[in-house]
Amino acid sequence: MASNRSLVFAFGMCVVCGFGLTLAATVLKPHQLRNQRVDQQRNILKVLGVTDPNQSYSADAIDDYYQQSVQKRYVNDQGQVSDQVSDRPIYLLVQNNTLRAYAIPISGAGLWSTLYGYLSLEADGETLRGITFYQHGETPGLGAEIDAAWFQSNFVGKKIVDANGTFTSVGVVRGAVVDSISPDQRMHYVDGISGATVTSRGVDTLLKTDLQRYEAFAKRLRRKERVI
Amino acid sequence: MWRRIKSSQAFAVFTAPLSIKNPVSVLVLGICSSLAVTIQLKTAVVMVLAMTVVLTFSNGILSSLRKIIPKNIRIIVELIVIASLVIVADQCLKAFMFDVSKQLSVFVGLIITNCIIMGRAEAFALANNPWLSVWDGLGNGLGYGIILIVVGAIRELGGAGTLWGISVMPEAVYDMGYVNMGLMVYAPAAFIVIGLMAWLQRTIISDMRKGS
Amino acid sequence: MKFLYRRLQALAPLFEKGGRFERLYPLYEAVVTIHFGSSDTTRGRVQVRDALDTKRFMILVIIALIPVTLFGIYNVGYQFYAAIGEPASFGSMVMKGLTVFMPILLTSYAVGGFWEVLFAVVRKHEINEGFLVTGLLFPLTLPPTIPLWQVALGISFGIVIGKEVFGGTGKNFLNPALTARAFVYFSYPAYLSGEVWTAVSSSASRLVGYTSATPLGVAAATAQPQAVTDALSEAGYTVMHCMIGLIPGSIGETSVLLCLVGAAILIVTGVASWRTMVGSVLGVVVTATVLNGLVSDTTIPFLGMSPLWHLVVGSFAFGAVFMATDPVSSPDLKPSKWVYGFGIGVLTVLIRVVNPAYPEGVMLAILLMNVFAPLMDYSVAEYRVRKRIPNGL
Repeated sequence: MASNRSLVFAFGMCVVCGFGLTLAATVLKPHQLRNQRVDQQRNILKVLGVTDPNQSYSADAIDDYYQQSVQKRYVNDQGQVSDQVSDRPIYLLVQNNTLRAYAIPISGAGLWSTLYGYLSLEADGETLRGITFYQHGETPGLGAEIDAAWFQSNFVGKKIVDANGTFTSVGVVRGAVVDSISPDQRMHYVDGISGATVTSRGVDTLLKTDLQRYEAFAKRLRRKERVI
Repeated sequence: MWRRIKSSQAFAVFTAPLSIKNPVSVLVLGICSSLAVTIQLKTAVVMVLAMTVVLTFSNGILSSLRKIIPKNIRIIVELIVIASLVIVADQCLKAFMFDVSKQLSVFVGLIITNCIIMGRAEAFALANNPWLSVWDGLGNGLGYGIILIVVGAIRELGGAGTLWGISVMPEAVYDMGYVNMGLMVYAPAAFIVIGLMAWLQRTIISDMRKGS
Repeated sequence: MKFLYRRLQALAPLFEKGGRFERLYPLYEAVVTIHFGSSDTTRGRVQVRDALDTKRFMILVIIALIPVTLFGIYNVGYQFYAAIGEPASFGSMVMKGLTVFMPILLTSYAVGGFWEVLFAVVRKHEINEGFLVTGLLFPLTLPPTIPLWQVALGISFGIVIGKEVFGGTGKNFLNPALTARAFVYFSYPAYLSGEVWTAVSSSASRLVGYTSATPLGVAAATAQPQAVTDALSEAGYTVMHCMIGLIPGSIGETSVLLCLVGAAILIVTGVASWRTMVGSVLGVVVTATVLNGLVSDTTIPFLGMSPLWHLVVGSFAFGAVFMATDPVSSPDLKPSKWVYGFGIGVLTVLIRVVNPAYPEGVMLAILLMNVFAPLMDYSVAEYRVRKRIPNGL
């Protein structure tokens, strides 16, 4: 009865391996969840400017910083911050009970891939504070320059509204801003990446759409309403 | 003592895959992962560790079970053992080396399909005793490792100017107009580097044969 | 000449077997045969040989390249003075062109020659003149702003990986010059795209309002509702401009007219196949026409670029004449030459229009079809064999 022996053996193998795998998964699960959480926290702290990008931090330090200063909340249709889960998460940097800055998740199509990142704004609701991308598959040397310090520091201090308070977003131009944009408009534009037109345009579009989604909240900040 | 080690069968089994029977550059196995994970030295090293551990254990386990595994379900049993080991390795990486496991993404899981592992199980472990099989697994893992680590070092140095994430290209070189080689970041670069290594190795081996 | 011959003969014992420089014999042989014909005769059973050996063959290609090269040198100078907005004489434009082009060419020849000699010495075969062609073709496909160290790396890659690893001239399946360019393109993309087509280094010294966008760059950047033709004429390009070639682009690619002169030389001397060239033109015309038919309000305007425009812009003419017809990497049989050329045309247009990442598709199209060339020859041969009526029936 060779086939009987095979069945018994197969069954035995399955039980042994299944038991081993379950054990490994259960024991390791908490570690894995924490890693994922810290990874996200790391990116948010970076875009909020809490951590120094040139320094490395331990997982515990990140967790501490995050717990101390960042609150994850959600924005509803009226632009109010609440704890009710919506598709508009927001990360508030609160120090001494005042809002210093906030970060929002951004994503959109690049050339080869979807770009994922975070964008942070000052508490005035109109000035960009930082941008970071944590996942993309763009061409090294061209589109992947969205990771470069020169490109990301481009955004700092740019305004998403014009002098009248109308939403304009921040545009990514072809080439350098100084070549194509008049001086009074330059606070709404950043330099594009040479040779990476599609990726630059992708960043332009994703900023427009994602900033628009949080516009109701930003408006309240600009009217100096109390949001938290 | 050294002479006794050198003349032992285990020694021969262990060292052959490091040079003349190298799984990657001579037998051209396991190429897929060599292309995918060698952008950085760190990912290459972690991959090699995971691979070597899985290979050594799978060889050992399968070899000790070789007399009781029914022949008609041989392949599926090999797969169960290998798959379980790979999943455990993957889970451990996720728990303890999160950054690297994020970069390795699916490729740890794909160790299951790495031809070297099934190949060694079929060709060696099922026909030899556990002692030799473990040495064979270790040797093949490291033979795979040598190639991956060299390719990873070349690609990271060329593509990013760093090694193990630490910048080693002096700033002065960049000031002189040097830029990182974008090609090195693409998978085809690994193909070219492995090809050149295979060329070099075969030339050396054939010279050795002529010499002896 | 006689004097030179005697001098060289006197040196011969040094290089022949047992001589002091025995290992360098390929070098000596190259010098002799470039001045005097080869004295080698067939030793095997093959009796009939073409008088056109590789050496003469390659020299003919170089002659065909002379018009585009000279024009390229002039155009580099012309574009330079146009960019900085200074009037300049013909002489100073040529001088400027020479100071830009000659270093690139010399680097390419010196480094390429080094590898060629090295492999010839190690493998003990003759130095092949193929590198004279490769070493000239490669610089002609580069923008004038290319750094010299990239030229050196590129030609090394082209010669070693594109040719020597497969056994040297005649055994390579990719065009070495294009392999070199592809290497530079993927390694240093920022140096082969964007604002690199004029020899002006910084944008500060560039005339305000002057743009060095190539016709293809303009066409690819056109957005709805503007039509490609309007955008091109707005940027100052007409079909005539592109034919003559006083436009920014890679050094040797801009003048379609002179590429045609080169094509005439190559076809008359029997070096290149007219089938490949005509096939690729057909490929472009058919594909562009089909794409034209798909145009609607929501598609990118580039889709509507007419076949005529596709033929004159970019490096299509240069690639189809000088690169696609490379006798080693293109197929040998007549039907496969048609298919091969046609494929190049189709892929060129598709890569240009449909793929947003690469503004120009000729290089990738030719390399890809190079890979298929042996398969095409094989299929045609198989087909013919199968049609044969067996003996004795």
